Amino acid sequence: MVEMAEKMEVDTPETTQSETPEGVPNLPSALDIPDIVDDGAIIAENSWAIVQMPSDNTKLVQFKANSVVNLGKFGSFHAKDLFGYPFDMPYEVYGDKQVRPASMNIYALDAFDLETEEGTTNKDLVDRREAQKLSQVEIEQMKADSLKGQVPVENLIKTIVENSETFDKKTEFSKAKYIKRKQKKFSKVFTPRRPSARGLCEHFFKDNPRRICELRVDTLSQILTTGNVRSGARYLIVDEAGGLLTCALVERMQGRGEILQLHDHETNNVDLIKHLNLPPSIHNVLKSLPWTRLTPNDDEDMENMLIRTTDETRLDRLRHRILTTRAKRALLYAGGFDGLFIISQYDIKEIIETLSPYLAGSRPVVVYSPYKETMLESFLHLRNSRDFVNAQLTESWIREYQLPTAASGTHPLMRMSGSGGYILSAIRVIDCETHAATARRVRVKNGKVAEVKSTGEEGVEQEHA
Amino acid sequence: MTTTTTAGTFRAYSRHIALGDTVIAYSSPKTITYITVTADGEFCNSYGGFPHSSMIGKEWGSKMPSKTGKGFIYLLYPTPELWTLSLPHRTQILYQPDISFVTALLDLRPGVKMIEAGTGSGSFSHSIARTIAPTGHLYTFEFSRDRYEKANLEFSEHGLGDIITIQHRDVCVDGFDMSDMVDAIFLDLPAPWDALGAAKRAFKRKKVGRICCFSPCMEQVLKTCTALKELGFVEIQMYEVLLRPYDVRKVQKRSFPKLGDAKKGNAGAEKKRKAAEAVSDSDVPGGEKTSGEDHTTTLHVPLNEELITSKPQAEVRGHTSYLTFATLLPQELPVRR
Repeated sequence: MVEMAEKMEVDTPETTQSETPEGVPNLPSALDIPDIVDDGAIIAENSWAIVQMPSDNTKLVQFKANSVVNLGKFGSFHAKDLFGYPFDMPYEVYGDKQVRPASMNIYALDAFDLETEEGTTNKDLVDRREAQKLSQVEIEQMKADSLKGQVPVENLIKTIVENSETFDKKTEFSKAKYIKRKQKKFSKVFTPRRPSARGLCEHFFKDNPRRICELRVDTLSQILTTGNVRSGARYLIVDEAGGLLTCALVERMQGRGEILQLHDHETNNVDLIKHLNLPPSIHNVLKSLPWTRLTPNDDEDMENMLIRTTDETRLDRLRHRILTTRAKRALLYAGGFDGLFIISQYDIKEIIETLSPYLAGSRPVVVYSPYKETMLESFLHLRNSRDFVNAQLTESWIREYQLPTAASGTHPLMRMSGSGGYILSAIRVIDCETHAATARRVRVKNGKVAEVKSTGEEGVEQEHA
Repeated sequence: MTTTTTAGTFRAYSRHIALGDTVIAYSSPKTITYITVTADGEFCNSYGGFPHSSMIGKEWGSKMPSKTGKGFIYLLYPTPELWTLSLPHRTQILYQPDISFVTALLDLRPGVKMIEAGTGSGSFSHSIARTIAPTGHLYTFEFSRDRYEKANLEFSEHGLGDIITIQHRDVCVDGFDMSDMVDAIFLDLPAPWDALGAAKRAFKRKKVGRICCFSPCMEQVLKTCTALKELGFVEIQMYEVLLRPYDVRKVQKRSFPKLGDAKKGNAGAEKKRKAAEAVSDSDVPGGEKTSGEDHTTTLHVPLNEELITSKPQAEVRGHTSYLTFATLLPQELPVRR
């Protein structure tokens, strides 16, 4: 065992861990980093993509050089065949694990010539298997040909439709539905979407909502505007939604500004960030500090700690870690942050009390929770505090409509998401003693004078209170 | 302390108020107005005067007493959302719930080039500029000469001149005169279908484009959808978005009176309960009172714990507009790079 201080010339501050800026390395700065998120518009080796399948289900996949991407019943393909192609375009699987840009005609199916009389109803419609004139064998043969790329999918669907006896009897609307259904069944067309905060939010909200604290995309969008998220600003964030909120901030900042994350444990679990295909320089923007290191720990005091190694590289690493931690703490203590964002299972009120001193004046605090009850006490705290105004508790509500067609059928979807969570927000203000504030005394019955706390909301004294 | 004029408050956050800045004068959630700070101006409300000169150099968010000391305001930084609540209405405007959702679904972020028509009161324009700055650009079109002139002046006063280009033009008649230029388009027009052909041409040819049409009536939505389909737009989706605000208040959770206690009475507890309710009433901005039945309960109920409750506000906005989104794919097959 070796005393650390004897082995190395470290310019640690004297004795205990005072947070002097001297001797602290400069954290990497985000200046002059180009639009990092937008660099990733082309699929490259190891890119992540949210693959949208013909069924409209999505799958989060990484395109590795040797991997075969399996889309279940829609086929599979070699990932490397997509390298160099743009995201967000339709591609189709064909032949033996082959993939190619899809013909745009697949979308034209919606606009099929549906030349039958208007006003058809389903009165004479009898639903039975024999309604299809093609045999199962013939259909299977066509499907096989389509898979080999010999017959375009839209022709396959058209043939099936033309051979359906009942098709003409269907209403305009159910015809469209029929085509859509066949399209989903036979098409091998998929779209690899470039992961974005919105894409990840929509994917996980369907696939595994618990992973993102049941945060719905419209709610996420409200958080970003309520928090005035913009490029070049500096934000404090507590993100226990897997990093989804952090992803959204990073995307709206595009490498300009600073995000300091406060988190549990030594390493920060913001797993979802990796799906954004960001360059390593993202860590110039994104910094993290564990809750346990808001105050200096024993293992940061190099003079008095026991070091079990003499290996210079490991000692260097240790020294670097300690200095970086100090720098990040100094960053927090310097304050002046432009917003505080919280998704956490901890007591919201305590987090706000701990971090709001580091917020600049007239900057927002925005809290999300899937349960409004966890924020009610904090709401009252913010509303009655002299350090905050405009406390609001809101819930975003969204209704999607069935695609209106020229023929008929415009109405809200039969099923919808019941809740997308709740948002608590307020604006930090700088209180001062005013005559108005000192006049805020009321006489209570027994003659004593009691100070009544200003709610800060009326902007006027209620001397008659 | 700075006394110089800034490039414009809206362009970037600052810590202190400067001459020429737009300041949001906040009195209560429902009393929000704006001030443009001048050297010798004074803001007045019913509680007295607030000289501009005393605002200069103050930190954003500062509480400022009136000269009489009878009241105070908070000097807030003009975020696009606060601006939306205080701006001079020249038209029906877009509010935060729709603005936020459209921003997300059009994939707006720094660097995006986009079109907005019409400009209206500039509510959404300010929000777009915040989100796409510093590398993006907004081309906004307004067909009323008066609104065009006012918005043009406002954008330059707010330091947004390098992010926003405004043109006086009826896009339904004259189009945008732009091709292969933008990533996203937002149409808040009475007849958006008349502008969709021009919109299609304005999109970048080799990129996926996103469009949103904002229409209050279902009839407009149907015509828009038909036009979008005919022009080859795909993934047409339509939504309504609203924000539901909650009222939060404390209520007394009282235990059921035990048999036999009824005659004893509990005047002390009742007094305490009434006092508690008076305080929680005054907490509510707008001074909403508890319903009458709370006061008609028996005197013989012992006071128990407080419960924090919440409920949606009694009357809320029920409809703004339908939001129709669509995607325009590049018209050529993608090539490998």
